[in-house]
Amino acid sequence: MQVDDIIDSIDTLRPVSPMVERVMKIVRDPDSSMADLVEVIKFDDRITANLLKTCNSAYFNLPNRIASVQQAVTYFGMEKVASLAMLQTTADNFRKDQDGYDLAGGELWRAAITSALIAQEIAEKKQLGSVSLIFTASLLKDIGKVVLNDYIKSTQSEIFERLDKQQMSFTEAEEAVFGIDHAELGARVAEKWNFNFALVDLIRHHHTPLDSEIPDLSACVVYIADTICMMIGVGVGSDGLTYRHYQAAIDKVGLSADDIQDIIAGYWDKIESIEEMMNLSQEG
Amino acid sequence: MNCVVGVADMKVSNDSGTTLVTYSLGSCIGIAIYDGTARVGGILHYMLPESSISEEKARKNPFMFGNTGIPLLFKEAYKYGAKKNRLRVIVVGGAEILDQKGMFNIGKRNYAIVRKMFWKNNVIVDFEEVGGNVNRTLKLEIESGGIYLKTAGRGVVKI
Repeated sequence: MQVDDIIDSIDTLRPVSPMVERVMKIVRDPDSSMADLVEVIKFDDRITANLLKTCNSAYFNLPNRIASVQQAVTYFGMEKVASLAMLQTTADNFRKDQDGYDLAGGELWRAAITSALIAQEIAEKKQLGSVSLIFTASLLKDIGKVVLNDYIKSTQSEIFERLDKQQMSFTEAEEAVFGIDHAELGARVAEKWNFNFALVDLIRHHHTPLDSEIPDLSACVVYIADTICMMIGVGVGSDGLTYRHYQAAIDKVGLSADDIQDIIAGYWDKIESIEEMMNLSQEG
Repeated sequence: MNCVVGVADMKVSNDSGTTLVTYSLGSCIGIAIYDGTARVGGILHYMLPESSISEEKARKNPFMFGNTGIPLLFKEAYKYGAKKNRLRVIVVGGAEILDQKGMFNIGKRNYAIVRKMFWKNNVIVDFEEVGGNVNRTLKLEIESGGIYLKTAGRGVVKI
């Protein structure tokens, strides 16, 4: 298996809306205004329609209806609207079966939404400044799995051997077999789509948060949310829970074992919202 | 017909056409019980060991926790005519992330609570496959009492 072949197959992904790149640019540009963001999103009918549906969904439970992108930005702020728009644009890639990882259709998408909501909850609780970035990174972090999925099935026995006999983690086994793991591959996708440095870094380090170059706790939060999803069993396929536990990442964010249990218990309250968000982004 | 036992959920049935199934256990524990004489079976899928973490959540959904969910699984089966000494009891799940230690190892704690409760109540486990790093799915056919364990990526075995 050639690493170059795998990297070339990034082009088989359904490209995200060209709007994404512009949205990312606006959100990271301190000179941009709300009006700039509204103009870009309004341009895409499908995303506008789904964005408004999401804003008006039971999850947010707003007293008044949001009727326009302008209102959404005023109410939620630019960061959150950008995240919600991102949710709609990435769905297509995540929804199909990932049979290489033994994941039924929709499971990877469910995991993306669940970990994004959990990461957002932790980021808000810890009052981190980069909630939207953390949300978006959590949503997109497994995009490399979508690419690697086509190669995994035929090499399953080689991967399992490395897990079982050499006690490798799944990403270590991917690297040993393919020369690249799904986190690094996801980062390459993000680079190809011109995502900003922070987003590329968070995708690259979602299983190795302590190696992130982002100076704040973002990588740790993305990592913890992903770990919690695995423990709950959301989006877990043939890779199982074979990823490494980094206690230092949890300690850095300042979460106790009880805090983790609280978040797991809180997942049950989110199940309906997650279903609703999955269905919203299926329409259009 | 497949009847899904969700996350933090329990279902008991004596309907011969029903197959109970609970997917993707992760660190959660799945317990299946079956009485072949009464043809009654049930599955519980709990997420966390003890309700002391949130009594309010346990009131809203006792199946979230081992200590509140396990007694309800047995009581519900008894209502349908199951007898304790005839029950086949299966415990699976409780997986862990690699190198997960101490209190953060929820899978291990989930397993500890069921062992403690079964020991106290003299419940003998017929089969268990717990821990490790794999994701499991548990299925119970009410008619035949057939119990199946699927490990993601590694196939299905009849227990």
